[in-house]
Amino acid sequence: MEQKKFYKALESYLHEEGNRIYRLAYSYVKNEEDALDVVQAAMLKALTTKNPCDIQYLKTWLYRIVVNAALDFLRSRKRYTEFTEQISEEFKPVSVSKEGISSMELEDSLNGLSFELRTIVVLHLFAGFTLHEVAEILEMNSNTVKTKYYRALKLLRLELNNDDE
Amino acid sequence: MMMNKDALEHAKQDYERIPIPDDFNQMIDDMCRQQRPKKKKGWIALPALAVLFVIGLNTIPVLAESLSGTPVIGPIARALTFTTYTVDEGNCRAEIDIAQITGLSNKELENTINQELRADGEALVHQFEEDVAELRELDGDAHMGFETDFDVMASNENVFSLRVMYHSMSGSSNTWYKFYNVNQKTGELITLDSLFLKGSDYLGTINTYLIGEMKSNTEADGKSIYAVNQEDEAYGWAFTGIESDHNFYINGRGHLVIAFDKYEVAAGYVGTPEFEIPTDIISDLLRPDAPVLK
Repeated sequence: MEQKKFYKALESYLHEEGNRIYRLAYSYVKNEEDALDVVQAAMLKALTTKNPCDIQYLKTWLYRIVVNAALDFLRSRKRYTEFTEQISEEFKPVSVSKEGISSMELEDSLNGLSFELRTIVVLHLFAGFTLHEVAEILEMNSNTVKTKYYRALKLLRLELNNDDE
Repeated sequence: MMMNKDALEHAKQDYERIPIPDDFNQMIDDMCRQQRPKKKKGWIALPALAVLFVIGLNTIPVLAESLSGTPVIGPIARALTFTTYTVDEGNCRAEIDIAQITGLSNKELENTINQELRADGEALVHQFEEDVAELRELDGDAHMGFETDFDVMASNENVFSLRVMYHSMSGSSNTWYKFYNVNQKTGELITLDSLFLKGSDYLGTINTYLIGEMKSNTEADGKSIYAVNQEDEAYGWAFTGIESDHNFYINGRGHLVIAFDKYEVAAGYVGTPEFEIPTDIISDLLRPDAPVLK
């Protein structure tokens, strides 16, 4: 019966979070077909799990699966930078005009980050998770995530006031 | 030298605007349904139809708590499977889960809803048996299916929202929902009217939003996937807005969601679309005590 209860909660959650999960997947692969692939792979993994998690951790557990599905997908298509912090050779520092960097350039810069840094930035700045939640999703130490986050911001030449976080 | 903050804002907006594919919610539905843990089936062989009554969980609150595995702090409303009717006769199958709600702050309302759920369930079983018998006379090989299921859309100190799904499969399929929304603080069943200030034109505001959203969901040929195009008006089935008794629920984030049945506002492939109403559209029309996040 535990299984059934977990299952019902998971189904509910997938319906509620479906759109947000899709957007996260899309941000990695940039097209509908691949985003659907990633989402379906993640949902399948979650729905067929033999190790249901505690219901209170359902959210982070689910997003961990999504992030891993995205990573698997990118790896299989050989379109990835190294998982860890190594900056890929394709990353070029963006030249800055007087008006600052446009959102297209921001996207380019994001693409140049390692999968890990990019995931931290997207989860926090776009998907709306707190850095603490990001740490839970990625199963990393909270302080480590903070450090990596600020490093990513530096690489993106992004300066934010405290009230933006 | 530093990133233009507008760039970040634009990037965030672009992110939020990433379009969701048309069949997306249907895809989630289908996937969930396919992967559902299968129930054990058994049947008593009868000449015509075989129906098995399986008692799922009983109603003792203590049992419910120990099943949850998590410590219960204060009353938590849940929906349990009271009974499952399983009909398995060759090509005609039905699986009817009847929900039972426990833990509502208003016991009387809880009993009333549970009685209705049971009565609806039993009526469905009878209807299904009749339909099968009828269909069998016309076509011995007929395929028919029916299932019901339920989902708790929200359960917290403010709101308990239950969605009962009815899904019939015979040739084409049809899916429709019934919702029960309970205000846990007042113990009342929530109606749309009860959420909004008297005399406010909340329907007008919501309908304007809905039609706007529907119109903007277009395919390559510029036509909306919803029945809001000019030819829909010509045929007389354009969607012109909901009434106060329309299906809705309040989700776990405290937002109002308008829910449509299959075929209600679009072709079958669109499934059962839902629209979450942005709070800022309705915040000054909401009653101050409405259990909707402001």
